[in-house]
Amino acid sequence: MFESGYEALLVALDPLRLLWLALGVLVGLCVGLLPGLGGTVGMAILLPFVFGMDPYSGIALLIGMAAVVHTADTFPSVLLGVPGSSGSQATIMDGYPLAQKGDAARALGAAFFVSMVGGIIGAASLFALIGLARPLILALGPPELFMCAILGLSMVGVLARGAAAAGVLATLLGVMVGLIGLAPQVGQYRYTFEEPYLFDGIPIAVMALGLFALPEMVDLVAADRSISRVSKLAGSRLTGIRDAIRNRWLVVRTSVLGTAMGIIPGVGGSVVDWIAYGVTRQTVKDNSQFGKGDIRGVIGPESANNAKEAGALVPTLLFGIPGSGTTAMLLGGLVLLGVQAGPAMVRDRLDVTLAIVWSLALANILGTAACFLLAGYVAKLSLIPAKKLVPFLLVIMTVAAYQATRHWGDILAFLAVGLVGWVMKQVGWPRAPMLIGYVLAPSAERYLHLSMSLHGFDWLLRPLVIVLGLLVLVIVFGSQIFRLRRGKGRRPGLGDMAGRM
Amino acid sequence: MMRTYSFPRRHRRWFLGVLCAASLALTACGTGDGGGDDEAAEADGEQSQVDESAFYYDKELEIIVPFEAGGGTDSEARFMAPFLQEHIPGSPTVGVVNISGAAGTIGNNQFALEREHTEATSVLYSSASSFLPWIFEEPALELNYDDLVGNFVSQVGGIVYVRCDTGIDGPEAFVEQAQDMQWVAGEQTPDSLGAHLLLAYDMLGLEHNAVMGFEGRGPARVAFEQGELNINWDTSPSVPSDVDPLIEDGVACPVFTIGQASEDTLEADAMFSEEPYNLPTFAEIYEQIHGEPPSGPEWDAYLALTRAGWTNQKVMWLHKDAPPEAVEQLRAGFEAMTEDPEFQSQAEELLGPHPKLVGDDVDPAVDGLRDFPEDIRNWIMDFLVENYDHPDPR
Repeated sequence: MFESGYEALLVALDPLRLLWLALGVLVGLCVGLLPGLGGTVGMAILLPFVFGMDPYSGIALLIGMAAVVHTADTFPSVLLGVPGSSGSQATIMDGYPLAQKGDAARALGAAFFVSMVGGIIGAASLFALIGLARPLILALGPPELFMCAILGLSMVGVLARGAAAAGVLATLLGVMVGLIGLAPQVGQYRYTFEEPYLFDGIPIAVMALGLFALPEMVDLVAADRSISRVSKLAGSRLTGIRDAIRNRWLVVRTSVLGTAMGIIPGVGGSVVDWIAYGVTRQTVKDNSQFGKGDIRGVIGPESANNAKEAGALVPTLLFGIPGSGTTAMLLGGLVLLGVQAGPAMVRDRLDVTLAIVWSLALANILGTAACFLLAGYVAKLSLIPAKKLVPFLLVIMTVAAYQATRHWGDILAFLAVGLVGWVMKQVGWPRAPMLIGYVLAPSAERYLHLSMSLHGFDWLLRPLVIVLGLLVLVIVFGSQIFRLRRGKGRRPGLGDMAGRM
Repeated sequence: MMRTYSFPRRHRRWFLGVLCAASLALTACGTGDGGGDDEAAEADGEQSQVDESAFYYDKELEIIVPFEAGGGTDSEARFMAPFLQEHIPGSPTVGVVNISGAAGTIGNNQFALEREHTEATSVLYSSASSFLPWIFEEPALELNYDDLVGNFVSQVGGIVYVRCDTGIDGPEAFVEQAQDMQWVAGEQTPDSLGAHLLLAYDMLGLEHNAVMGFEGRGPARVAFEQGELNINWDTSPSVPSDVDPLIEDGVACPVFTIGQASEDTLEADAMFSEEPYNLPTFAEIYEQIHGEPPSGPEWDAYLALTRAGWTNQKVMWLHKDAPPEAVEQLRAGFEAMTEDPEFQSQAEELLGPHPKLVGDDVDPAVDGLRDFPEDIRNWIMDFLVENYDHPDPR
């Protein structure tokens, strides 16, 4: 395996292929940088070109793009407080306050560095797991996947700390929005009011932009100031790297978590950053500054979201079951390159799989290097007064929302969700639980239905289900116990915390 | 104006301008007709002499795929686009546009309502999943397939396999023991392509529990491998990569093939009736189990669904308002494409050995496809409503 790994490296280092990789990275950086555009848009741009390319070059192009979206999407999350793609919302929580304090460069430096480390840990795990992953995934039947979805939902308790009731209500609201569209087990539409736009539900890009970006824009214009409250950018990228190295175990922990969540098919890929954020906040010493600009709140989700991309490739490549829009389109791209994903990827096309691993690792390094070079300039965005910046951003975000399905309904939905998000922000309701409820509702429903149809109530006794159930209990009640033990002195103010989520 | 910040005005405007332009450009590219195709077309046009009097000379032809980029139908359309560009008289620029949503309904509706059909610059590439809503009378569908003209038909085959640990290791054992077993099958929804298989299991007299709610064939195949299901099916494009390894490992044992429908009979399958599969068709296995050939309304329904779901699975359509020379030249383009040796060798590899229908073969095929008599339609819907809790659309 290592020998073929070395051979694959030589294949990947072919100058022409490196050029394709660089081109992919460039596209990935662009779609990541623009708020609301993500990997699916990048894939849509690149797919017309891959037909007829040699498989390794095509893979370098596609993987290069997919690998770095979550490196570059940190820019808007930190600098503007709007998600650069649907995978970088949690970075806003602490990255944006850091930018407001004038520490944007430090936050960016830390984020890019851990993105790279996370991406490389993810690629290494992919390499290590590719031979062993089939039994791992086969151990996750519908009951286990249902419990994984519940595990994700239980994180809302952590994320809504200090506003538990509002958090639960926001989650339920998200669940209801998530159920719009075709019911997963009968050919019947729910809550669509016979409007074809709603048949597939509200797209995630529209939800993310509406909930997090639009309210921020409104408040920014209303306050009429630049994002940074100080007019000089202090802090340097190197400080950020030092922060990351000081928290190296956190980086490793959340990278592994991100990879693991990516592997679980169909659950949680889009909320991995929130889960990582929640876990980071629960597991570090002294979390009183979280939500006010703690660098660890940037490091956790940023390590996880790059690592996730590698994890998500495991079910995609081995079973042909994509976990996200990006990987679904990657599968199509592979077909055009003459590669069919499936069990054969390990047996007969190991060379292709290894090329993917190397492309991932190289793209992460390249993407991070590029972002470092750009960071100094882009960080100055946070100094521009809002009334000059916001119109541009609104245009970009509206276009990005429209990009989701290219139906005028996208823009209406964007405005409607934005209004809900703004009201929630004003009254101090946490918005992250709503998004988690929205993302996980369809999987939770689907897998619960499948578990019941296949096993009745017997599935409750499966060992892995019991383990996951206990984990859920620990997460839900553990935080209460933690909080009681730590005393009330450190409890963050309600509006202060929840308002920014 | 007070300059309290240090970011120079000139740079600021430049940067935002670039950001904005880039985002708009990306969106334009994202709609699917990738810019690279144009250049390729022009380069080709200069080399071989282009017929300037041709209908499609200097035009852009969009292939509307009513599904996401990256799916089976999309891959086929993207694979064909460069060949069509070369072979359609006048060498138009051919681009694929994905308009996905609601099982193809959104793309179908946009094609029907928002395209200028007399210009014939939009074709629709439908598959069984976007065609079946028409059969099942989906109320939101605005497209009437009777208003369309077929230009090209692409077939697929279907294979049904069981878990070998049921003790059934092939068609013979299946004939003997299938009716004594308790089968668990996994489908998406009752009104998807799976309806056809539910009907097949029913006709064979299989005691089966059909679990609805799987996200597609991939997840159902994983559940089969996990042992949650013990009977499953797949379409030919995914068999070499996903099902063959399971057969080699002794997990999956194939038992019969869907077959291909012609007028009133079920014919052999170009892939699964051949080596190495050598599978009996549904009609053959039915006869072996029941001792007589299939007949009656359920058999008519089976044939009609075979035509719609497999034998004519993907069809390239123009609207009937298109000028006759457009139809004629587009058909000529498809015909020339299938004669291109490069297309043939790549198609065999990418799409499998199933036939592609062009020229005179297209009209009878698409007429047969759309020939869904009211009684068959009603029979199928009754079957789904009674047995699988399908909400009655009528």
